[in-house]
Amino acid sequence: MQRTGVVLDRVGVVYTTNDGGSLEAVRDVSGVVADGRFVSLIGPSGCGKSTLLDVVGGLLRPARGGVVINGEQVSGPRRDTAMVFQEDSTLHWRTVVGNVAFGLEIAGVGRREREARARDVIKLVGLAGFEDRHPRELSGGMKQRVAIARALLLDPRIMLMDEPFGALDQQTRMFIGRELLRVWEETRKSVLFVTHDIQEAVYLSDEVWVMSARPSVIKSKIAVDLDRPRAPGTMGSRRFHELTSEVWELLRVESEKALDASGELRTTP
Amino acid sequence: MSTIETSTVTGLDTVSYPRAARSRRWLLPAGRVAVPVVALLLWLVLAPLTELVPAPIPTVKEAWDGFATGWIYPGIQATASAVFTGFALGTAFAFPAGYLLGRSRYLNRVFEPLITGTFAIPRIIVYPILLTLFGVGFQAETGMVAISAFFPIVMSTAAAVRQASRTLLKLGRSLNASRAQIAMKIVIPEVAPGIMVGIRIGFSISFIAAIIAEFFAAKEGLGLMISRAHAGLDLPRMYAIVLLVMIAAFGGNMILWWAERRLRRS
Ligand SMILES: Nc1ncnc2c1ncn2[C@@H]1O[C@H](COP(=O)(O)OP(=O)(O)OP(=O)(O)O)[C@@H](O)[C@H]1O
Ligand SMILES: [Mg+2]
Repeated sequence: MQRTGVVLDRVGVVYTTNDGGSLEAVRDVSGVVADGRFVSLIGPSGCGKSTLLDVVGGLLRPARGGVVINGEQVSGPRRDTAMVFQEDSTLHWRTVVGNVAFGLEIAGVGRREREARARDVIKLVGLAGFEDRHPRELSGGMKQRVAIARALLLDPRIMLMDEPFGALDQQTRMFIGRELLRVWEETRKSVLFVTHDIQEAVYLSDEVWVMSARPSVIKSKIAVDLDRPRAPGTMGSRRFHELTSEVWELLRVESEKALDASGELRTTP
Repeated sequence: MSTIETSTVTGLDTVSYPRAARSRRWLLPAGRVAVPVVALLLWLVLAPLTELVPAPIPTVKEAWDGFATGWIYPGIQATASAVFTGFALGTAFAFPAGYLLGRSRYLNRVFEPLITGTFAIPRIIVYPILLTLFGVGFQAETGMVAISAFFPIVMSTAAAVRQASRTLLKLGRSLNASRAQIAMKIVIPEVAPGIMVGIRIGFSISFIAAIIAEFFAAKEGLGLMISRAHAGLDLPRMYAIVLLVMIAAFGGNMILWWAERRLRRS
């Protein structure tokens, strides 16, 4: 088995529901995020993308299979892994600096050092000038950048990002996506990135994993053979369009299945 | 063209709202001052109609004398020490208990029916038990206050802590935060305003409990002084102490309310 990177080995997750029943969220997912690679997960809503990220982040124990990071079985949250959550995870009573430095504070780094380092990362994500503001004074996208900065400051080898730009409009997410790529090219962390935006997935990634409807398996892994560094022009290229339509086709079928299963698309008896 | 005009009109409207509010800014403090002033005037006007209500002036004079000659101090001292000691004691148990109940599904399911059920029992019912255990005096009264403060604080702390955001708890776990760090750096600051509500209610109830306990059996205290004045038909003195208790309770609660609002804003 591979020694470096993140290895998902036949992961299956079953939730216990409140009424005592069980719900199979993830059936069988295997894959490798090699060191320094950017991999996107895309799939219909409710297929288990966040669930899978929780498993890789050590927050959720899978019912079957497991995850191995750099040769070690994941059994809980790890210092070399940082997460950005789908929902707002800023601490509303703290300033931007206090939020970004929070991870280091928990790790026991002294105030002076962690705040100085936080200020550097805040510039990196384009929030200079907002250091002493509170989350309520920020837009949704700015709050997500605070969460990204907090994760970056931990200097992890692996970033797990769950739809970090989910709340943004198309233009802004493209803009911030480009910023993220810039940061990533500098730091070359391994990234597992959840999104439901096909163009974003293709534009950012080395590989796009398309997941099936719940209970999910990986339906296809698409290698993105576009040159790096990517530029806005990349999106106009023919290859980009071929790749996005390929993902789109795979996804269309799965999304219909997902909706069908929940009874929302039953037009014909 | 018409759409542009409409939006201009709407724009002007929204601008004029804050201006209107500003020009009537005196309305709120005026209203707040008016309520006690009207109450005082009513008292002044209506007091002469009955012999059972002393007029405001002798009442205030009696209160003033209480401080000038010092007859009120032992009462204030006894009641205040029972209120503060009992409240502190009750909080010291209720706050951690409420936190644990709010955090643990298991503990909550075991204790919630128990606490909710016990909450309905009039707390004064345990006072005779405390009196037999400790005898009349500071200990029994303080115990009564502590028990009274315990319930509202444990219940609202548990309810507030239960509201803590799943995402923030997940964040704490992903950072490998200790239980103490999760409590001190995530949950408690996040739900502080909700916790403060319970503390404020707990304080009011502490005050009530002390006075009621003193009506019932005490060696000293404002409650005891009220019931003595009542028995001796010393109405100005009775009214004077009632007035002082009201002002003290009001003031204490206002301070906590102010603290709560500050927490909510930050
Ligand atoms: N704590 C939980 N308990 C029970 N079921 C859960 C829990 N969390 C998620 N699920 C279920 O597991 C499935 C997958 O959820 P998950 O959040 O991983 O989906 P997702 O792919 O991230 O969806 P989205 O794109 O909408 O964020 C869903 O059907 C959901 O109802
Ligand atoms: Mg999700």
